[in-house]
Amino acid sequence: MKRVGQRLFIVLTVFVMVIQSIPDHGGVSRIGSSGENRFLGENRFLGERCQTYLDRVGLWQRPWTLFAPDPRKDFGWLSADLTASDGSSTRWTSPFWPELSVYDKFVGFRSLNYYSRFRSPLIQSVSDDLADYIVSNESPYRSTTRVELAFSALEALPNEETPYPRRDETITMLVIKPLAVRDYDASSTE
Amino acid sequence: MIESTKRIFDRFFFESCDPRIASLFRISYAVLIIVYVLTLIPDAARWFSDAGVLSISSARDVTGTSHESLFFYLTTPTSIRICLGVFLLQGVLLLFGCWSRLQSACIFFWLVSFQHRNLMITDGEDVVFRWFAFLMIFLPLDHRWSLARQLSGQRSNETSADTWALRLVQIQVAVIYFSSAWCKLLGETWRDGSALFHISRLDDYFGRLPLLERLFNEPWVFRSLTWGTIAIEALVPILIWVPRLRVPCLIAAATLHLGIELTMNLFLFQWIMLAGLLAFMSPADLQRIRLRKPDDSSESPSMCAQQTKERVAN
Repeated sequence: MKRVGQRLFIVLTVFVMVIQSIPDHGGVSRIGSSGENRFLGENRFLGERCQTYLDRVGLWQRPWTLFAPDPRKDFGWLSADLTASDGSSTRWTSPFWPELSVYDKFVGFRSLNYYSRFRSPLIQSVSDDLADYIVSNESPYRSTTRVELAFSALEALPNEETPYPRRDETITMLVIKPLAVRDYDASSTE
Repeated sequence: MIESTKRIFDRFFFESCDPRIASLFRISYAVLIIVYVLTLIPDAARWFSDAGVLSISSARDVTGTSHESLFFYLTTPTSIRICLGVFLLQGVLLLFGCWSRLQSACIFFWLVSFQHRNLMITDGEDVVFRWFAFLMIFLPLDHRWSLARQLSGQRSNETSADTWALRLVQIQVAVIYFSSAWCKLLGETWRDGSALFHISRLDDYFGRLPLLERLFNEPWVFRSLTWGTIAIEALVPILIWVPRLRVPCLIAAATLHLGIELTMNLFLFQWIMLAGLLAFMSPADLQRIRLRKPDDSSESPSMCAQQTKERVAN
């Protein structure tokens, strides 16, 4: 009886592993991005009820994209313009990864993942939460009245003459995407 | 037909894995999970608390309503630090082989809770850690190199029949490679061979060794590496099951991961995949790397098989 149970468990587990990892041709590009404002695209091979159950118990996985279907061609960072109640302003920026040491990149890997997510469209409250966090924890002012959060990216432009340019010959375009503008009462951030 | 399928199934899952590999896998996983937790501790409040970067309502929206997490209810920085402390302690207990199945179950619970609380900081390696923790619950992790077993003086009587979940670890690793190859083949840059050129320009992830970076200016280099990556990811999960090709496949996969580790900053992904590759090791490999005493006849492969047959017969 025990062996029968083990066999059933094995078959079920392998099925769940395999079925969740099959790329959905329409969905691959959606995973990890905005798909319905969520990171996790829906699996078209599993019924919604089944996927919901797997999500709940933590046995979900999705197609293993790993720089697929195409690696991105930009380098991005976040910035926040903070304005104080006296009118002065300053700029906060997320870490500039190329300048960090190997150790700092390793330890700060979660930050890299987090900031990278803002490249894709997200639900507004995620950006608002970050704006509030910056005001509470990163602002040098006693009272901050306004924060403007944006994601900036240097996008490599296609070059027909040299499709694979050297690093210093790459032509890039700066793209700035506003994420959130938050106003605060001077008293609330003191 | 049904009987022969059942026999093949049973031979594959219940009669061919060495329980010592499960213990080796436990140790490598535990080392990695300790590093994993240690890097979370300094920023615990920032990532997981109500004073952090992601409110609970946003976290629920990001993950979807069906995901659950302990940290939707425990929200203060102090409670989160305490939970991470317990998580770390359980990683250490797993390393030393103290009630390892229980530790694996708890680690799985912690991983689900922390990952669901803030999915924005996670990526593929977190999924691998979570799935491996789940599968370890069913493995004889304390078969060897276990402090609790040494202190209690009990001798392990686990056999290949108890090591079936190691096959699930192997299948999970194979699924990752195959799915990744499939996803890559859907991308134009992977098909035309330029994907690694573009990856080498990712200033955030790439650039651990500047000397190697220059190689990626040469089209023949990045094209061969791009197609080589797809070839390894597509072929290894198929050919690794052929006994004669197992070692070459392991070498190819390990080379791929070490190559990526040398050039990119991807935290623990390469190492957890290398730990997963350990699951494919055989008793002969263990002997080759001298993890088995020459006179340890009680645990020879033939003895393991004999014990397994006796158990199945009973």
